[in-house]
Amino acid sequence: MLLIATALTGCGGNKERFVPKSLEDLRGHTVAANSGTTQEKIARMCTEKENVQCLPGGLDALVALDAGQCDVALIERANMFSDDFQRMALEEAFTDSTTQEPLACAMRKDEIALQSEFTLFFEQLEASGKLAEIKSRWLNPLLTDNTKKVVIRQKDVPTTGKRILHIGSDYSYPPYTITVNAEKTGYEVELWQRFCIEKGYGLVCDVYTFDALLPALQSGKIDIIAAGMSVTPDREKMVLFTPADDYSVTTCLIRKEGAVSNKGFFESVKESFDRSLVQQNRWTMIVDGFWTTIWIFLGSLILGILIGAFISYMQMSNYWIVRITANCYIDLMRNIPILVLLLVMYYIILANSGLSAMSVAIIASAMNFGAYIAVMFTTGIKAVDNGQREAGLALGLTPFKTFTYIIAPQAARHIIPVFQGEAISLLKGTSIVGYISIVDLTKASDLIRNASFEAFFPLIFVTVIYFVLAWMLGKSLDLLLKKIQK
Amino acid sequence: MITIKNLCKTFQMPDGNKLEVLKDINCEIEKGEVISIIGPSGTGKSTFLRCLNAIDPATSGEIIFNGEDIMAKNVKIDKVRQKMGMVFQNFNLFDHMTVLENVTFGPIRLLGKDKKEAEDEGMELLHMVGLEEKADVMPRNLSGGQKQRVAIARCLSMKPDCILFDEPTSALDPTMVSEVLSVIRQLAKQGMTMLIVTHEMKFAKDVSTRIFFMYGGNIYEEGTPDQIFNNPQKEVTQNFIGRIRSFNFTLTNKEGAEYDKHSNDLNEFSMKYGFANSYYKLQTIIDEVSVHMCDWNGPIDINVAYSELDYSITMQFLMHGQTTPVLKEGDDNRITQSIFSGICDNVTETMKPEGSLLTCKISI
Repeated sequence: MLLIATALTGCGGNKERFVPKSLEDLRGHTVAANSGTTQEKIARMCTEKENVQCLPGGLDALVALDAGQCDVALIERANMFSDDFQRMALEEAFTDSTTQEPLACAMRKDEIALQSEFTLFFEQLEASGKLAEIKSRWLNPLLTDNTKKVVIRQKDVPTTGKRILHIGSDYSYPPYTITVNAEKTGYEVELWQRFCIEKGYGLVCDVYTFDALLPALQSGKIDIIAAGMSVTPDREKMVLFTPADDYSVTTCLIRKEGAVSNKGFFESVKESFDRSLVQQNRWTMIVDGFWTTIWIFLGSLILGILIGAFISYMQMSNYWIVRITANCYIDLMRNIPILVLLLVMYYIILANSGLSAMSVAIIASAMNFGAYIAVMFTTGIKAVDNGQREAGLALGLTPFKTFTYIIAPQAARHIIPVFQGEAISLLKGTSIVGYISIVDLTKASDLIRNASFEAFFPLIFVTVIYFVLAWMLGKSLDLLLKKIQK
Repeated sequence: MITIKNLCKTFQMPDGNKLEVLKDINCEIEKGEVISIIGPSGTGKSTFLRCLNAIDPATSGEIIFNGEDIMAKNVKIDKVRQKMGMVFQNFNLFDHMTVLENVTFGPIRLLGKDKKEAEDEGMELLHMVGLEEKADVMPRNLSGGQKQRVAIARCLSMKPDCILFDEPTSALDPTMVSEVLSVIRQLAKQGMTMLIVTHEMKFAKDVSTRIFFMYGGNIYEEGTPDQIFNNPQKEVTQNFIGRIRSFNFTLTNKEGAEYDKHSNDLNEFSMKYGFANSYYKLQTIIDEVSVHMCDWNGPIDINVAYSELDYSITMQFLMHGQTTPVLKEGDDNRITQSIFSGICDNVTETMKPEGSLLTCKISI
């Protein structure tokens, strides 16, 4: 309860309230901004390096400000046009339009045909007045109810067609790209949805963190970046941009005075819960993420055991070259961070394999897990006295049956206690798959946090789910161990 | 039943050298024979046994078992092993199964018997080795002797034509040896064909129909127990069979300090040959002779000899300058007499030119 109270009130502190009037006032104060945005650039210009808090995902800058981790947050003005923002105890200090950068979608350099096709479509949209209507919904400071802005539902857009366009984004940067009712939408996303419907293309939405978007585009994982990306000379060297029709306007935010809710404690808890899980059916994202996590875990568990058994078999080979190969594999896997392995597999080794991100995640986890399993199997089997094998053979068992009935059950007793820990690590280790566009439990909580600006319930909820899952896994292996250790 | 021709076994050593362990073994074993394989350590006794059921495959030669050359490539060696059981020095019971499961595993998995039938037969076998009440116990809760009896029962559960025993009592406490040997004796009576690698000479002499004396990777001499133990023909056999372990020292005075110096060595000697339990008997006798009986006209030469053949210790005291016998009749020596008769099987005294020679035989 204490935890909840702290989380809801924030750690406001007793400092005198800081109200800046312009960018010059920011010097000496901590400033949060979202990484890769125009605002980050501004923050770096107007305050000291160590005072810049550069946050990676969606609108984390707002959450950081709300939680009292910084003095001000610089955000895109349009970011504020949403109910979720309006509910936060934050207010505008000033708006600065001196540094205006165009915002647009990016494509690979070799997609000139796609660029001109889209540009033509865009111009027609503008000419017909349709664009104005779209803008009046998404870029309207007065229309803050996100659910009223959505006119094209995800199910209305084909996922197959002459060509499938993968549109990458963190879907957490309103109003350009956003998650509403657990569906991917937003101003830029709607433009592409219309484009695909008209041209007969399929459209698939892939979730990446902002940092990962450019690498994903360059490696061909996605075809379009739709993340309210600012057009800079550096970026123009690397990618093509769609026609810019909107410009970045920076707003500086501060906490409201006496930013303590005047609502009752239970009421604010209920409201926070409501916003993070109930509204827009956000809980369904957690459910989907839960199953994704379960499938990745089970897939890599089974595949990892198979890989481990095979490597362990190689380790016990009579041929030194086979043993060395197995040992090299184990060394390699044990000494690479699993996240790095995941990225290498996704962006380099399996980049052109046509495998889905899920498959890549399962393979990478299984490769890593398999190395640990192999070591476990080998030591477990070697711990069984050789006399047991000889006795099995002498009784008239074939070598295979000796292994199955005599060696394996005894090795299992050595293996299961270690296996328990590794299996739990594997389950927890799946939380990194968000890096390669998979929406698992962890990533689902990220998306909800970015959409609702509520960090508490999504994170606590996910924490509890992970804990219960890992705990049940441990307990069930305990039972198994008790059963075989009579 | 088993014919072995030109059997050779070479081990490849880690340093690249080859070690020839078995050199051209030839022999014939008939049904119902009990063959003990004896000989010094490192002469290939265990390797010979392990080559017979191909746990360590032989390098060359022929092993014809029930008319089939089991070293041929197309032979299903697991089927052969079902008919040729093996009992190990370290028992090797299946640690994850109960005693009963150990003796029913083979019949159920390999002979296709149903559980009930296998359990009934298993209980009969356990009854035979005297361990019926341990049926549901895990092997780790058994003593060494009990483990080995279960191992024999497990071996019998496959109804083998012959059984190979690889030093079945070497890993046992001396107190547990006899329970295992009596089970093997029982099998011998029932006419089971057996090959037994053993260091228990007395047992080998009693139970066997034939003895193989192995030396230098070959069957150096073979024959009936009577031939090998009482009338060995070759020199190495003679030395091995007649070998007596002995320990000598001399006492020059009556003071205890001198004996104390030798007592540690004597204790070590007794531990080395497994009669540490009888050490106090030796001490009592030495004390009795040197303190109470000897007149000390000269030094005493003491010889303690241990024979593996009948597990006896012979102590000899040569008392230099002793002209009158130390063993006397009469009341004065009643205590001495009762000590000697309580400890020794047999005491004799002979008068020699240099003095009196007292000989005591103690069995352990």
